[in-house]
Amino acid sequence: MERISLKQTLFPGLFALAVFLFFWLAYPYHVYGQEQFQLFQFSWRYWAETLAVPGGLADWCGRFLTQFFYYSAAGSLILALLLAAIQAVTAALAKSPSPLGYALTYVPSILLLIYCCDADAMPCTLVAVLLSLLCALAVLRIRPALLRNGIAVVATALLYFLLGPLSVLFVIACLVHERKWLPGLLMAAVFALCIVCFHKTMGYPYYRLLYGINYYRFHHHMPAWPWIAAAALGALGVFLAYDGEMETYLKYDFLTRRFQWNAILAEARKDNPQKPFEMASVNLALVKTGNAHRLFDFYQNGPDGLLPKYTNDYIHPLIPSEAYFQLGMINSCQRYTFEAQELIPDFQKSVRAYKRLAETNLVNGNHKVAEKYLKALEKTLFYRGWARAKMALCDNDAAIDADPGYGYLRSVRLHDHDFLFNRQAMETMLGYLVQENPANHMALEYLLAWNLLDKNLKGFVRFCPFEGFPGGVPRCYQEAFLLDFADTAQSLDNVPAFIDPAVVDAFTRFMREHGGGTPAEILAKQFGNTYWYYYFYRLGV
Amino acid sequence: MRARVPLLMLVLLTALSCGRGLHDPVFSGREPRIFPDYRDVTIPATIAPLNFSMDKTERVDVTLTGEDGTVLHVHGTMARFPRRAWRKLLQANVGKSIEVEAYGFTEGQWMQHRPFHFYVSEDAIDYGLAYRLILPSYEGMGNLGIYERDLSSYRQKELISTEEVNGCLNCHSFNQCDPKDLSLHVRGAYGGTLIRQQAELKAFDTKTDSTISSCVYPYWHPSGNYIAYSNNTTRQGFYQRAENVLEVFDYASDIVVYDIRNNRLLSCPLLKSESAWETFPAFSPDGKSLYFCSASPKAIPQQLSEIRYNLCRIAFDPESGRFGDRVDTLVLAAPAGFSVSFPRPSFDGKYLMYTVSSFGNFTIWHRDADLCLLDLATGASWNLASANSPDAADSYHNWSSNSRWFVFGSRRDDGVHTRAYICHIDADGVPGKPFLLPQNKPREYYDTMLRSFNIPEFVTEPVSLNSHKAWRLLRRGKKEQFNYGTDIP
Repeated sequence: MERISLKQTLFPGLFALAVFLFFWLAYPYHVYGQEQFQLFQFSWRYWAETLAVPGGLADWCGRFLTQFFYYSAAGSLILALLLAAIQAVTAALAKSPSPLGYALTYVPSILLLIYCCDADAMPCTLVAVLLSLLCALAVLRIRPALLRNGIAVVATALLYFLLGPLSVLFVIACLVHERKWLPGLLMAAVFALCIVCFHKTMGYPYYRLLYGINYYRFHHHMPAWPWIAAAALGALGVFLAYDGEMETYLKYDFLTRRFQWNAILAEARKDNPQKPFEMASVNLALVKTGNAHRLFDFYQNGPDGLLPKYTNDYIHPLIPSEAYFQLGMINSCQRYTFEAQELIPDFQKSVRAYKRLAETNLVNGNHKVAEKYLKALEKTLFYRGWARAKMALCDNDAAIDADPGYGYLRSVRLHDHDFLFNRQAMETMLGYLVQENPANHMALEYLLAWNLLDKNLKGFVRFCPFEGFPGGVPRCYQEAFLLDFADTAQSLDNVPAFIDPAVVDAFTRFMREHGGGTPAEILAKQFGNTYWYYYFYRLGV
Repeated sequence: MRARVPLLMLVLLTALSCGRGLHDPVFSGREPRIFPDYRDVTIPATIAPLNFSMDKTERVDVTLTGEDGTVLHVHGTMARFPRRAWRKLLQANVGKSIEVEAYGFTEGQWMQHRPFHFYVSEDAIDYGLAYRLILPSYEGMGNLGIYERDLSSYRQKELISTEEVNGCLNCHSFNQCDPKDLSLHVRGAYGGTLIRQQAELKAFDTKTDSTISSCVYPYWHPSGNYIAYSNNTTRQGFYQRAENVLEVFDYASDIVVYDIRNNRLLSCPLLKSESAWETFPAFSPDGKSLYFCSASPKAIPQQLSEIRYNLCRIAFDPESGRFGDRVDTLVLAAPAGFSVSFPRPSFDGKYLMYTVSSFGNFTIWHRDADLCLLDLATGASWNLASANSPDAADSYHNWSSNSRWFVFGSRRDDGVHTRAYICHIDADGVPGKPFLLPQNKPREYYDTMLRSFNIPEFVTEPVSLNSHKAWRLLRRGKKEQFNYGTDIP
């Protein structure tokens, strides 16, 4: 009795708790990320379109549940419950397994847990597995054998359409229990027939009908499943599949999306991020918190860490798109956002992209287009209120102008100059923003930062005002100025008054050490947060 | 008591329906504001019902009355016409007009609007349309496909899409609306050009050492033995001001003609000139001329807004595959400050429709793009004002097989998403008012359809295209190589 209780409550409970804690504490940004790359709508059209393909019901259920990933705790709980339920149903199908057999009932759930570590693995996979096993459990409880087998054969076709190829688990479960060749043969034939029929009628290639239409975000290639081997090692498999880099990126992306600038800086102090997209988030946070002059308190890897190059994927363009939005480069923001959304491999839409595209179109005065995005968002659970509030701005330019955020962006957009975006001429583009709108301090700070990171001292000196800074000219600006000054001046005796003598003194010491061949690691300890160190020792710029 | 329940329900329903029915209307003195704007449009007798909704209206009551006296009445949240009754009404009024009397119910009051008309043309229209549905995106292709639409119903069928083919599906082209002759270019890792001449679909690698790029912008020779293409080095750039989004431009372009029977690419110095960019080829319906656009090269991006294309013509001998030795300029656009693109001669040989814009050739992104018509007999050219929209791109037009209808892409709906409009044009080149491609629930459809109708083209019959075979040919099959100017085997 005690063993049954342990099996039925304690072990599954512990398993669910462990899974929940794993996603909630160690993998929350993967959870958040899943929610951002879909646009679940409460509408018949959405329902019908989603269900129109093999596996559509599982996909719809998966998407329905994914919308609750808006809260990482809710998403973690859902994943935990799904995996625990799969284990429980597996155990129920195994009837009264031996202790070893019972332990093996956790294998499917652990495999799926590893699968879920992949940012492109869709939760509908879990739904498909769970529903397939549940259906098997239900059908196997039917007593009259003829009726049971008849229903099993019919259900095979139905489940293939509703759940996709993972409904093969239903077939396997029934076969293992029945151990009769005729129903087994019939079910296998029906299953194969489904694949052929959907290939002929709906046009899907065989490999997609076998792998599943919507189980994985990339339609034309499935993962190599290297983790299957690792899964034998259980927890080690989770460890191997854990994508720490992506989790870190998604963290910065999440914080950027939520405008949690101080949190970004706090995380950056802990993580010391070095990748361009993460640095773009950190640098945006520095500017938004009025700390642009503290650029070199953090690792910098060149202009790419300020406004990264465009990449052809659905995740990375989103942070630069936020920077362009804040800068008033609305068209560039729109382009990055639109492209990111259209590169989602399974062609789903993104709530985040829809929100931003509604905003860019509102700011640009394309009310009818904005309205279309907002109407779609009105059919969602978590974005309905936001969309309704913004809908009031449609066809109301006066209200947009009066809106603190959108009105400001309209005022700092380019009005006189127009040009084709050219990343090689970023200095010019940012320069036009500053020229047309001197009040666009963010553009000025990006212009200065771009020149500093690009090691373009002449450009920096040309644009930096060197006055009007509360508390004096920031130290890193003084450092850059001094570097340029020393390049042309005979001595440092007549440096301008805004240069702190302590900075001159530090510069003299740095140049002495640098010229004397002091190793970079030693210099980094004393001068690692200076512009000079960046200028001479950061590679790849 | 039980017997009284149905009676009570009947009374309630009657009362309810009386309350919702048309009563005490007030005359508005104007025509109704409807979506799509089907007021006073000329339509073919076989078109699917022109369902429409009325702006800010809870219920509508619409009566169609044909000149022959046939009446069709609908009542509901929008005007949705039963297909069979609609067809009967149109068939009974070919060459006549149908009066549309519409009432709208708003805030407890029925409004009676001034009637408008549908004009049912005697000119037949083709079976359907084929078009590409594509996101108005920048560089990524997203989910795109080529679809066929039966014009007598709302049925749309996917022909090929990125769901099956992992590559960008480019220009599709049929031979004078006959879908048995097909050319379709696919970009990407497994890219190639699919060509079908009546029967067998084949995959080709169209890039040769003598051409600057793969073959694009196809146009079939009426004999079906040649396809004209252009080779373009195309790039795009992204504007920063709100009014514009992006610009597509060529750094170089030439024109070639593919001789299908002998697998050779034909060209001549006049079509591959260093001093001109030639693009958008189109054969005349008799097959003896090749129309194209030509511009003087300019520095990009500095002189982008000065790139202007003229409309030109060169003779072509289908027997020998030889070109004429001079180029005639039919529309000298550059000195006049505008640019010509996308020439499409009518199949009856009388007219040539083209797009004008202030510069460049990728007019779908130009708000000032308008359709113009050139009378090939007189050389007179005029703006198709009644078909064009004042401040949105109108472009990518194609003729029906009898040259009495044309379809084009217009962004007049919201400025961003291209929609397919069909327009009647009479024998004198006078266009009617274009109408938006009908949908069962047009407001819902077009509000949620965030893809553009790209390169709409009439087809005389359903398109037969096995997308699996196409993909298999591209992915696994050995593509045949285009040969440039080699001797006839």
